[in-house]
Amino acid sequence: MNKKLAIFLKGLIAENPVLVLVLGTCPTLAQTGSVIAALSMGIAATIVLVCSNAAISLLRKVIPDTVRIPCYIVVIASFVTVVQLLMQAYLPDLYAMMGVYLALIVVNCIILGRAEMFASKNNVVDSALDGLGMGVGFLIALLAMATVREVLGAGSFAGMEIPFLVNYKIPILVQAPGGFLVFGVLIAVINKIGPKAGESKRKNFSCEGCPSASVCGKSSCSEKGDESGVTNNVVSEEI
Amino acid sequence: MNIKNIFTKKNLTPLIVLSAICLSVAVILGLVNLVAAPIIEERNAAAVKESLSIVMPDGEFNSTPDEMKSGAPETVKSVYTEKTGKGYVVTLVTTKGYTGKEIGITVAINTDGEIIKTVITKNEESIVPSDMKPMGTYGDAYTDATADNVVDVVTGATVKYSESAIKNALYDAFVYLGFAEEKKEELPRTDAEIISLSLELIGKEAALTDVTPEETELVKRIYRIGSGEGYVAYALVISANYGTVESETLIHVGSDGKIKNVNKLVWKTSDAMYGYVPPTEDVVNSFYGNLVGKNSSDIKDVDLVANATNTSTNVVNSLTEALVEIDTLIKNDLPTGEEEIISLSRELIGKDVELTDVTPVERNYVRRVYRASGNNGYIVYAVVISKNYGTVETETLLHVDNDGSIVNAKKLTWKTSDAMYGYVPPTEETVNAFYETLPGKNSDSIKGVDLVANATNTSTSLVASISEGLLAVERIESDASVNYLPRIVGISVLAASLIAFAVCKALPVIIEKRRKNG
Repeated sequence: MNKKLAIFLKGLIAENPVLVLVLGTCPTLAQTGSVIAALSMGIAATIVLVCSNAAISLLRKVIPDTVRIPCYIVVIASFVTVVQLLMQAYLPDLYAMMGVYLALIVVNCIILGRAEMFASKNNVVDSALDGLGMGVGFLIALLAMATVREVLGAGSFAGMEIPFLVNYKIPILVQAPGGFLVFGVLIAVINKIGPKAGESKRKNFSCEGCPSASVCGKSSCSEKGDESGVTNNVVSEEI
Repeated sequence: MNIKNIFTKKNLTPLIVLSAICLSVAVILGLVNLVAAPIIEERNAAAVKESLSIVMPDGEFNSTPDEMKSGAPETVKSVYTEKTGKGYVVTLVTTKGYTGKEIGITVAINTDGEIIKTVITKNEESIVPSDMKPMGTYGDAYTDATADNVVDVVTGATVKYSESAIKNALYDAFVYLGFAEEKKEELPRTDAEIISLSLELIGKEAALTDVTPEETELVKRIYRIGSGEGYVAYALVISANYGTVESETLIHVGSDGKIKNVNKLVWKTSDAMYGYVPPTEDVVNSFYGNLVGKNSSDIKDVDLVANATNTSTNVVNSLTEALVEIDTLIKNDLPTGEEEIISLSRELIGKDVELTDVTPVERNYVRRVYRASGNNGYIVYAVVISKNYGTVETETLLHVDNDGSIVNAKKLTWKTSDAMYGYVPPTEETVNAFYETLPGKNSDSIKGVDLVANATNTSTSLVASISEGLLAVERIESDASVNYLPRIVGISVLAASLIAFAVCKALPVIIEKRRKNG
């Protein structure tokens, strides 16, 4: 049970895909202008992550190595399309708000990255948990950024005006430069207070200190051991 | 390669697995679409109905607009046919308003061709006259209007410029739906009027031939004077931007492509409003005076009229269009047809050579310059048609060698002033003798040639045309002689790059091989 919990929890902070692994920055910067948009993107990405991880894990012994990437992309794209169709039918306002970024979940590096690095090597339950953890971590990061940007930048939260802040808003925070600023500050904060804070900076790009070392299939990393007990039996390049 | 080796389990398995996944995914998506599509369609139809209900509240529409017919007016963006036969809803966008920004219009028209309601959905106009009707209240202004009377519905002395744009856009909707014919452009003046004014401008009686090109915007008429003594162009601009701006201009252009005379028929700038003071008539006349002598290249350098920038820009633009079209006409004007020129050229050279057209763009009297194959020099065809001192015309064919010297000259036309006021033109022998002095002359020595007595003007013009032809040949020759250098340099650089690339690729392999071989 601890192992399952560990798989889920590592995606929240220790290996947060946005703030630690720095993946999926495009939707992060684009969809954190408002809390509602961030919530929608986070939930949509989580659903796709869980489903695609589970499906790819289910098919991991069937999919040959030579066509694994096209297969992963087909699976991920199908789930994104399902989410798109259902949102368009039942949540048209959210669908309109998300715009092109909903379809761009297909090429979100988090999803393909987790499929390649975890789901293709682990069982369905673990993969689903990993997807859930990464998805919730993505959601938390988006919400944190969106809260800062919307509250300080627009003087509102989830569309509701905050009376004493609305007259003192900093508009640049809801624009692109402000997004980068907030993103950078959040990464700095996580590096300072996160689980890996205090560790010495990586002086080279070897496996030492790589946050994905535990799940990377490279033979040179296998000596580092795997905290969750998953097996590293396929050599593959990091995405 | 053995075919059997291709169809092995190792090769086929990935293909089969990928295909199976794609097929499964397609089935799943199909099932989801089966559930979601009707809901999406219903939502879209409701959204369309809501947006169109502003003009047709009880209409039923498809979620997508009708397919647009080809040749639709520019302003018509989409058309929805109401399902129960109530009519049509047309969305329009026009940019012919006061400042040229977009005005969006939605109009409902019934099957009898009458407007039910009109709503302005977008207005990007930044300058709006204070007495213009506010957007949004047009709803009933055109109700019951038809194509025939849409321009008369809103009457009054104060015509609102953007309102003209709206009316024209509504008319376009009628045209698209088949309730009206596309309006043919009506000129403010008849052709007879324009011709009469043109003759006044030229200052003489002349035959005017309509040579107006088909695809022109601001130039409405171009007439050739006589057999090529110049042109008259009639240009018209009516613009509703920044108030009603109108200009009608008539220009007389010589066979050198330069404006000889200008007639300002109409100059109407923005009305005096908001403290705006239009320019004085002297200032405007000075502007028109500055146009004389300009050609298609330098007319844009004319100073615009202060406080009437838009109007004067419109005049310059319209005349530029006219001059460019006239340049093309002049270039193609050949009193002697092209085929005959080529045939005469070969006779002049005395060989059946290939002639390549190398006519320079910048020229005055020279109509054609051909390079003869086999190093046989050039042919120059020059024409002078001048109304000075009576009708003076010369057509000359020259064979010029590569050094720029005349080899042979042929007189195609020599027409000097008519015999009048005691004037006796030179005899044909005198003229022929003049032509016989031409061989051997180049661009320097041609200036010293003796002119024909009693035909000084004609022979001066002729010498000028020959001199221009000789200079043109010299320029072509000198351009041709240096043309190769850039090509040589370019090819050398390319070759050097390819060699360097090949060396960089091959060298490590060679070094590695040698190292292995010890």
